[in-house]
Amino acid sequence: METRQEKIQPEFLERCVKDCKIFIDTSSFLEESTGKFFQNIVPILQREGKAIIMPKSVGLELMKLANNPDYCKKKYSNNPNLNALAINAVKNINVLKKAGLIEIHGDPDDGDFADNVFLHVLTKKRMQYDMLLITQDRGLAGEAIRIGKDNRAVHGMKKIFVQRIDKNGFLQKIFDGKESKPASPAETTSRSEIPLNERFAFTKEVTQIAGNMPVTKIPVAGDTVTAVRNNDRRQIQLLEELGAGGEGSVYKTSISGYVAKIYKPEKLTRLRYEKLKLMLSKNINCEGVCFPLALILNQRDEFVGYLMRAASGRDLGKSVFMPMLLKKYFPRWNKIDTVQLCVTILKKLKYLHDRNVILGDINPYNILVVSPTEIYFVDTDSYQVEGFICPVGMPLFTAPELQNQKEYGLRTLGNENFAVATLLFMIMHPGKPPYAMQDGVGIKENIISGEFSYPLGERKTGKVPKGPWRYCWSHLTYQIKSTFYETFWRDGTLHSEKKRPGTGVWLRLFEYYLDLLKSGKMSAQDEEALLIFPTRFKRDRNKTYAKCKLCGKEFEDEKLQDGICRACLNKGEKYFCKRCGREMIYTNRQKYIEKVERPKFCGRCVKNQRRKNEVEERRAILELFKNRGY
Amino acid sequence: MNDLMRQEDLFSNPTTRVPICLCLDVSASMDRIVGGQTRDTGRKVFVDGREWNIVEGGVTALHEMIEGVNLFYDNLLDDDVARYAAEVCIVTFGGKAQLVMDFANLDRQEGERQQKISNLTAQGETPMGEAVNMALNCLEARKNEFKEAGVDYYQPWLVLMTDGEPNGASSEFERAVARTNDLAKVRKLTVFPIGIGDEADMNCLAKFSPRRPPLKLKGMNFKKFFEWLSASVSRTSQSMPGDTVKLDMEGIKGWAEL
Repeated sequence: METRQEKIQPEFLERCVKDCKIFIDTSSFLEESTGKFFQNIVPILQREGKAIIMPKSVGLELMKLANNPDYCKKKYSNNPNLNALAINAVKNINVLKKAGLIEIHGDPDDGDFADNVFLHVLTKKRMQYDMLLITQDRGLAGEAIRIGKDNRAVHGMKKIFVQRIDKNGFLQKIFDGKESKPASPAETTSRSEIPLNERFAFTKEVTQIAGNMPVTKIPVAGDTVTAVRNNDRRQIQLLEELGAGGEGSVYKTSISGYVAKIYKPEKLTRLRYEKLKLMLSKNINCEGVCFPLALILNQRDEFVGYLMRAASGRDLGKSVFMPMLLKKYFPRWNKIDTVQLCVTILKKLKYLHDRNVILGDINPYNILVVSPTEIYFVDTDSYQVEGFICPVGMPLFTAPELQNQKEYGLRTLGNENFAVATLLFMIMHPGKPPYAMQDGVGIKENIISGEFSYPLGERKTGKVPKGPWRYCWSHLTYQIKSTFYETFWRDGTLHSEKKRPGTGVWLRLFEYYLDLLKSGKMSAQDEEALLIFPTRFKRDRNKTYAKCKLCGKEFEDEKLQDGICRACLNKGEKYFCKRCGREMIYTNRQKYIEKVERPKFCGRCVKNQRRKNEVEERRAILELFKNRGY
Repeated sequence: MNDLMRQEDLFSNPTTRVPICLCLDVSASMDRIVGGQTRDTGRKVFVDGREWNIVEGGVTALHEMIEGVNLFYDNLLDDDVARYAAEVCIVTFGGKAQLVMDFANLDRQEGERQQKISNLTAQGETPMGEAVNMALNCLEARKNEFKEAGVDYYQPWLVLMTDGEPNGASSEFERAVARTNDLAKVRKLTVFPIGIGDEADMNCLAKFSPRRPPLKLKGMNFKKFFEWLSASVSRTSQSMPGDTVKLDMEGIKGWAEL
């Protein structure tokens, strides 16, 4: 971690100086290593002709600390060096001021508390500038990060970075004050900690560029082309064609493990060219995400496609989402594998979301599966980056607020999180869409009305689709069930666009589930925990269970009569009435509960016989009377 | 077919279904010779509205159609997704309307499919209205089963193929036209009316299809047509419900006279 941070440091600092207004807080001026930090940043400031901004109140505070040792003791009693540090800081400031590398900004309504000034400036200027706040103060950092996070709500907002100076004089992430415990893996990378060179900006306007790129020849298998990224040009050869689609063809290349997508001439638009250039300007590097790595030019240096890593595997749509094919291609999989698959997918989604890449068209046909831990995201050139939208999408994965819109514009992370939840649901209920239900009207209509049929506790609609799906649902952890429920159900607390759980939340839930499954805790409670398609509901810890003596299936104790389940009680041995030949059943209820012998005749024959006997009897009596002379 | 097994598919297979009704003319006129070597027997017969010469040998229109339908099945079974998504029902009309295959997963139909389709014979009149009504009844019944089980499905397709003009009860014909139109107008049914040969009554076929005009099969290009149909089903089964399925219009040129 440390080495990576150091490596990217000069570049990060450089970008910050170029692109951001930089503010320094009192606490950072008072850090031992601040001198080293200035050694790093001063040459860049000089080269770029930029200056650091310091509110007047920070200067005043430092002066006070430098000139008045008693004030130091009173205010920060735990640091004996404080006075010396403050004196040093004031010296530094004076040097910087003379060189024009620091600007002191006063604000009439500043008050004298620097923290307020920062928060005020960050809020006020967030539409105008990207800003970097350097502070050692967690409380202030927390507030500043929160202002930065608003940029989901405030359209077109710029970025706010918050960093501290570490003991080597480098900038480092700072945990916001409210985070008392170390974050779980899902949270370790908050968006502001992703280096600028990996992260796309936010825009509220769709980029529109008309026209096509000039092209004289579309290369085919065997042709030599040039792969270009930045100043790196490399001659490569297109080998065999691997597949063709609506947009073009994909070829193996002479660089093993890398393939080239070559577009059809009509798909070589300027818009696509600019989008790919933007995609290549950031360092997106995530195993399994086949992101564009270089432009492909033909021999006349005309844009014809892009280079990416090769993918393999079967798409989710033709494997996991079809139970018969799931069995065929992944016969050994159990619940651990499907949950692991969710985790693997979520990690890649999170990587992309953290870098402001929105997939847009999440669907089962552009995720390829080799194993639960090896998957590939393909068709990445359609992803939404900055103002370049993803123009396609499947209604089944489209959030209610976007249904029935004629065109997809810029999607939000909230929109995307609907697709994420749908995808996860369909892995855990292999292939079954969350809104399929009894008496459903139609997929779109059900999504819009938020008609979710699966139950949570006492809340149920009774419309869960028939088949094993209710058992799949039942066996999930309670947290996963409730998160699905609140996301999909129209009145759920997580149903609205901005509330939908993101990949970080899901990742935590699925990693926990995976842990429960792997540790054997789930199986100890219920031996069907590992079945992808359980045959019954999850065992309730508060109830006792027993196996039916006849079929061997497990039931709640109270549902068994003398150890036999209801279904078995009504079944039995088939035979025929000795008199009329009608088919009869000697039920297990008769045999084991009522303990009666197998009747020889059917009910109707018995009745008829009885009636016949009665008639006989009556006639006999009459006969008798007659004979006696009545 | 076992009814319980038919239900079982609905429960265990989550794939969004594409229900397809093939409503096929097997009236006596489908026994017309369309190719191959024949020998005239000199006998004549009057049936299905006109007089015919009886010959031996040759290939009939029905024979071409049967090959087409079998090819349709084979293509669907070859496609991993369509195999589990498509559900086909076949109603024929020749003398009377007859349900040859009721809706079910293709794998379920496979046991009896070859035999049932290959044994089709051409006979009698052309009760088209009765057949369309029967097909629509099957479709309604299957849709209800989908709904009861909670299975998603795409807008169903009705393929109506004839080489003549309907001569069943006119009330049945009118009823079939009205039902088809009602469904097609609200996009609850996609209708493909297709005329075979020059004597197909295209005006009658047009009545079934408010959204797109009927097409005439180019020669006896049943195979081309069913290939196109299975490709369209495959494409549909890989889109997601609600997507507007774009038919391959270019491909239509392969089998239709335009």
